[in-house]
Amino acid sequence: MESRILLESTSVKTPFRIDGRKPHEVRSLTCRLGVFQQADGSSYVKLGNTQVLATVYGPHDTRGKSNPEKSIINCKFRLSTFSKSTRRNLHRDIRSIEISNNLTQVFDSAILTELYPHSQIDIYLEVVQSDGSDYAACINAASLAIIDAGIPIKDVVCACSAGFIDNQPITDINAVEESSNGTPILTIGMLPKDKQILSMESSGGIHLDNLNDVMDAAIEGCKSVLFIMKQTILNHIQELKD
Amino acid sequence: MQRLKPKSIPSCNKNFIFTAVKDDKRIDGRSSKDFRKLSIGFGLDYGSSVVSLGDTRVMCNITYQIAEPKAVKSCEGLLNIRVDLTASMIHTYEKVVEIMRMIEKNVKDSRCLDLESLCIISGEKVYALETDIIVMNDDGNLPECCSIALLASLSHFKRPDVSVVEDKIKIHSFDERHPIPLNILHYPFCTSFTFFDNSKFVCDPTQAEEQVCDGYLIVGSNIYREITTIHISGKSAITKDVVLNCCQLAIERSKFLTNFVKLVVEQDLKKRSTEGAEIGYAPLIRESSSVLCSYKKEEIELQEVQENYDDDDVIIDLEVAQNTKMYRYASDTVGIGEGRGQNWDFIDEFQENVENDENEDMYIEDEETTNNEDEPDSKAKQFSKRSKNSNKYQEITVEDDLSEEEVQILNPPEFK
Repeated sequence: MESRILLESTSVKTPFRIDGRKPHEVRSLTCRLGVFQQADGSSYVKLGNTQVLATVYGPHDTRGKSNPEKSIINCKFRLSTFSKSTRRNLHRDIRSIEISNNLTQVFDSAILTELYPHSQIDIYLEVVQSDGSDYAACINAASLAIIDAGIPIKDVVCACSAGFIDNQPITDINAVEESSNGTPILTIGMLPKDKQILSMESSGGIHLDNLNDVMDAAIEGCKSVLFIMKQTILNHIQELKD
Repeated sequence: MQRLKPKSIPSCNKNFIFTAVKDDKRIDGRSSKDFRKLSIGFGLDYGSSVVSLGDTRVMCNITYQIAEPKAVKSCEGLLNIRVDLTASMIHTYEKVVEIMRMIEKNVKDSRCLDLESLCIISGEKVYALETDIIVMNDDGNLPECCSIALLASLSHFKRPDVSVVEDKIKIHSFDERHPIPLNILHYPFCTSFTFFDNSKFVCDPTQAEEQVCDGYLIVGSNIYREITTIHISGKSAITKDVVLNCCQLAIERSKFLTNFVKLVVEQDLKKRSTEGAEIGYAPLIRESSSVLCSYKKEEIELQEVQENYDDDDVIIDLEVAQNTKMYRYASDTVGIGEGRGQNWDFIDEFQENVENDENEDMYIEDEETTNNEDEPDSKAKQFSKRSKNSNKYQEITVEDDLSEEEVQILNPPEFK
């Protein structure tokens, strides 16, 4: 199974992956800001075949409990029923709840929540099409939507996934690589300026000696994602100016 | 269900923990890289265990049933993990999901259990192991405690042998054939680290430390130096080097835990094979220093502690202290000095009312005595009499002639 994923071509020394990428290549990333009119901030991220829509509402009055010191972040992640090849059942999906929790924690520490006491910020994420690295795509989409909404944030939060197949660290994993048995997957969400890791999730066994390389691969991926995200933001602002 | 709020920690306690961590000290006398005392006990049935790590206590129970496998993995048994936090009551559903997914990723995704050996007929019947982890007391570091309990139970669990004759399954009882243990390929344990200011971290946090911390890192690792899972969250500045450093520590801890769990399981199985030995939880309750008895905190050495005074603190002169009269109003209320006498008219009536409310029993008693004596005097007189009678309640009063009798002078405490 694994040999099918990472093909070693005879003529070129560098191996190629199942979708023709090089090990450190990130899939094509397209971002767009201000997709919806009614939301305060929205964005659309297309990472290869993974497509995510993000909307941000707020800061607004809380429904129920409020915090006098900072604003509450409410994050909802949803994999749509048609996002994968088989129709998904939405009822009590524990993985979605886990991702929602993680996203809440990431943006709770990234957003300057102290500026909005007694208020709430809602972030809704909908994965329209899932082709691996959903979590990373969601962090990127949410961070763009927050910037579109004009909410102060420490830095552009960027995320990327990495894996380890055939003694080779690979960046930005797709669904085929994700589903193959025993592939270790590691997703890093970070603040690029301070090189501070806000979120890091991994599953599957990575040997400690290789962990450094895999983390490097993910951080490199973050940098290339950040480059495109920053350009999109600048273009969007330019458009607004004109 | 109505859930309790977690105990809020006052900011002075918060600051205390923060400054203590900076000096590599902790409230229970451990250093930043020390772990609490771990003990494991097993029940009568195979696969039932209780683990205590300091005051955190977790029970894990494994049962099995025969079920149909998933269509994708037709020749693999099933392993369902459930975590129950209702006993500790203060956790939200999110917290339950976080711990459950953490352990699931650690055990399932790292393939530490050979699930193919649980297959009976491919695509039709497999063993489904149901593991229930019940948190009985939460004093921090739940992921580690739960993972220890789960792996201890898995390595202790034994399933009955099965034979298949012409598509018919026969499950042999334990008397008929020897029960079969599970195939565990490696033992992945979770270890938590909590981070405070300036990337200072502590291992094996208590609940107070978990509530105060800036962020935390949970690492799952095994004896083969593999990192099975990592989870980072919070505001602390965790960089790559810190993660690698923590992974190294986690691996050392896993080595210790693997040996410990193996040893404990071996001891228990040996106990079962010897006749007359007591097994199960019942003897553990009788033992004074076992898993099921309350954990006694070790005495902390306080030799290094010095008393230090701030310059702002006023130190009372010995002479002044000795000359000052101190009055005891109740068993735990002491006053210094008398104050000046006052000539307000309404004071007696007012004080009487207060008196009535406070010492209702006394009042009734006194009323009887006054009735017997038949002296309907003025209210002030009544009051003075009553306070004379009631020696139990030493009151300070304004009247000059009474004050000396009622007041008890204590020895002034020794001041340094």
